[in-house]
Amino acid sequence: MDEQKALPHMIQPHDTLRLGLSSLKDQASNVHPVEAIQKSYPKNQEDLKLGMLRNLYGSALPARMQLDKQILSKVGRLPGMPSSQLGLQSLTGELDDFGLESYIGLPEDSESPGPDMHSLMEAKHKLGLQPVTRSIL
Amino acid sequence: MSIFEYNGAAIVAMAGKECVAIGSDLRFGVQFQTLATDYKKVYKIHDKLFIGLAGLGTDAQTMYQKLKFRHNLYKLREERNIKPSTFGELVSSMLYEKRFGPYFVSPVIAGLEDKTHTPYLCGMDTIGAIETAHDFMVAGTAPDSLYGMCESMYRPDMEPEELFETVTQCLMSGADRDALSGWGAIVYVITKDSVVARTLKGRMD
Amino acid sequence: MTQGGFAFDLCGRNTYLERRGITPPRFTKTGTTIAGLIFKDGVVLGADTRSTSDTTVADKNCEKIHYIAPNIYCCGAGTAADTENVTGMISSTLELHRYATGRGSRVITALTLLKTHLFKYQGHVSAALVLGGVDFNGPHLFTVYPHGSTDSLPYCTMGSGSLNAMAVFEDGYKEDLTKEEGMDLVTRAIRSGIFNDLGSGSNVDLCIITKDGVEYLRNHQRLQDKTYERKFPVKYTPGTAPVVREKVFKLGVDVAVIEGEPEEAMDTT
Repeated sequence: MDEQKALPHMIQPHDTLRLGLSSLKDQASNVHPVEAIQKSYPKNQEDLKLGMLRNLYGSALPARMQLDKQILSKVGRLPGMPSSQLGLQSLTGELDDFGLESYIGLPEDSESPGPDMHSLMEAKHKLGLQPVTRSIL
Repeated sequence: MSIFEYNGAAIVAMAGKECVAIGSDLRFGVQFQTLATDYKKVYKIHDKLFIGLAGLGTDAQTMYQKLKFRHNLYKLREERNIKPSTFGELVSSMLYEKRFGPYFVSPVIAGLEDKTHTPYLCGMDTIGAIETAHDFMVAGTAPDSLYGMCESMYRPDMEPEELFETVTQCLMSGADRDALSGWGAIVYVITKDSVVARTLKGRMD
Repeated sequence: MTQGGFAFDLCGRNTYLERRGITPPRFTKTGTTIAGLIFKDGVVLGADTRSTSDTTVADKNCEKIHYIAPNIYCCGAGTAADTENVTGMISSTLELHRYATGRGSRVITALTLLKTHLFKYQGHVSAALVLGGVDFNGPHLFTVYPHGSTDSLPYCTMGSGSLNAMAVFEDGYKEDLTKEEGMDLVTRAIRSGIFNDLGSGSNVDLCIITKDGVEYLRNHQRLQDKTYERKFPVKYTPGTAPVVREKVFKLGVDVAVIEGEPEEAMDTT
């Protein structure tokens, strides 16, 4: 459990008022191996799929798909508000998927309000850190 | 030490004929130290749906607050009370969300279905494996002695009064062999037009 | 949290408690005998009906044959919550898929969905499954292991009683069994698990899938009904219980409070 992913070092000053007290050890290590799996899985799968397409059809098709994806992921409401992302979901095929993410730990059922829109906008324009929501545990 | 033995609990639920009863002991303690003797471990979700939460006290209270929240949310969205069987699934998926870092609670759900007045009973482990029962369900620090009592005392189709007496005997006698629960009990009997809550006197040691 | 999935916010606390020498509670296991075989025109799946929590029987008559699609069923062994959720999730995915394509589900689709899910979690989701069904390619039978590996076999067993059941299969299986022979063989296999493996018990559930439909025989054989019923069951007369306080909540009416006898003071000498 205590495996350190990298040497802990501070990249940015820590925003204690918004994010709470920090500990470098907490940030560097995952609390559970499955957490790492769950975090990295979507990205890994996408890379795998794009790599496969690149080998099959050349680099143009995956490049175009990524462009489509970038455009479609910009469609939506302000950060922090729910967006259905229908276009993006139909492109990625997520529309027909039903995984654990579809019924477990849904943000709309969370009892804690999400982070405020101000900090989310800051994060979107790379002016601040990605704020975290905390559940009541 | 098992984490369940930190606070201690005894919960019994039993089904009768168009009625259902659920009860818990009243002790609140930290290991062998008794701190309070009026601590109910059965919570009301709505008039015909009760949940007993055995296990670590802090998690039981948190869980109850979360469940209350989810039921309020359900009422806002659906404009009706949640069905006991639906509520069972809700609790199960909430517990399964924490599959790899669970709440240390094992719930027992007892309720009456709305139109048919058939009893609904179910229990769960700490990660939400539902176990539905037609007769009785127990949870707590001495499940074995509670199971033993229920197995021999349960009879199908009991009327509310008889059901109450039977649950009481199962709960109190079962809890007498458990050092971590006791100090009286509370039993709720749910019928189609009333809920009767009875506080009971038990051993005080 | 921006997306769903497992939550890990309690892991820190729980591992801390574990380090302090506190044992976490056990999960309910199915501790199971599940089996399946391919007969002349379909698949027979079988399961016992005991679930255990440590050595206590948690449920004497639970259901271990899960619905996946109208033509596909799945027996589950391992952690009860995992098998329940995995099979439920896959059946929902296939339902959506049938809506989208307008075609019946294939067994191989269910298999691929199951194994990718289980492989993703690297064995942490501990479900061992026997998946069986009939699609336009004919009958199929697969086993899925918790880490995501799969087998395709004419007859297979899983769970703690798998060796007992496999012994019966190895002895009695032949190709092109009739439906009755198949049902009998699976029943005998499950029965040998029930009687010889302590993790398995109670009754035999069967599920027969052919191209014409499904026969789900819940409690096909009831083996472990109570052998003893009390002749004169204890009936407590009303008033036996020492009631201190009684509150009656009339549903939809006013609340009436009836006070009982005041409790005498505790002897503290």
